Amino acid sequence: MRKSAIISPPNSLIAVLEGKDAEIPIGKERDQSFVSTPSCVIVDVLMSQDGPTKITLDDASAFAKRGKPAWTGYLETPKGHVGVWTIEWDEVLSMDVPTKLTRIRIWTNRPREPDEVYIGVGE
Amino acid sequence: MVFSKFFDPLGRGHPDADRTRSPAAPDGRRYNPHQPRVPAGRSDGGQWTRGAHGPAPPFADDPRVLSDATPDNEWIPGSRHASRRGGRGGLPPETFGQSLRLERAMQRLQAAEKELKMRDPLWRRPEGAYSTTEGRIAHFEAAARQAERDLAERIQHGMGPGPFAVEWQPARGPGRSFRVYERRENDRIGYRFGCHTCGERDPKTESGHFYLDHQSSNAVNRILQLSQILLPHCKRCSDLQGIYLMNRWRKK
Repeated sequence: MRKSAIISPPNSLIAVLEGKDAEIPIGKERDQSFVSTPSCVIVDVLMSQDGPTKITLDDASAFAKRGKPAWTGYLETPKGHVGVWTIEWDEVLSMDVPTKLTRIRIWTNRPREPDEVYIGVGE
Repeated sequence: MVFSKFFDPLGRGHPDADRTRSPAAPDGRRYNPHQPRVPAGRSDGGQWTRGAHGPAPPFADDPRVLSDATPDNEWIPGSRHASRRGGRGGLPPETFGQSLRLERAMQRLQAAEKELKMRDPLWRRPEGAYSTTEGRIAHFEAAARQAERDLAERIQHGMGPGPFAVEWQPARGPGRSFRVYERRENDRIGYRFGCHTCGERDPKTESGHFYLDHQSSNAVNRILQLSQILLPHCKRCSDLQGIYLMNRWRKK
């Protein structure tokens, strides 16, 4: 089921992970829009002071028409849950998943500081 | 860098206001060469009498004092002269050199600790055990080095004003709905002095604006409860700060 939120996240970063036990990356290069670990992917979005970002979470099949994703990978989800969090550990969106290792694909409307982010879950 | 120049949360003002101990007397007492001592031959011989504070009483009034001569003038074989009966914490007595090294290490640790507590209230002094004076010195020297490394790490990751913080503006609150004049002023400061953490004068954002960085950050200030300021931040330092805070301040 599609879920959306429009937010201006602190430090213009959002994190896709299961919960607070996830391994968070320890650094990020200047031009990286994504940085990840086996259990977390952090996404760079529009500078929060320049405006909000729309984040949409849904099954990956809902975004198939968007073409090639900007990021694709797998996240460990042992408790069967995927969430979108801010760096202050506020969960913005969430959905349950049936697998312990979940495929995640992320589409954006532009390569740098996107203001539309689509997070597709599953195969 | 002294964090207190940006904030005065305890209203103390002067950077030395909380220094209550003389480096020469860790427990706050000062040496008084005329303070009487219990004479030799007694089980408590050589120990100070009448405590360390206030003027020493007239020698004639203290029945325990048999002479007003200093112990150095005493020449009785086997007599016990005034001396520290033991080192600190039940350890053997320290030499002058050991005392000096220990004091220096403790001062370094306290200086770093004071800055750290203002930037990261979650920080804790490293613990350790020791059974000798040299062990105690080594513990405090290692703790001081660790605290200084931790402080450098916090500064590098934007916890607290950075080394390039020259000008700032007051924050109206923790909110991020900034006004046009605040953004304009932040950019002016940023283009003139650079990012407060790294000094970079190009914010590397798509819009060309510097981030307005709350200091203390909102996550930290939930504990510190200080008045916040706004400092310019470049994109890279803002990203690093966000990831560092997410790791460091993971809610339990």
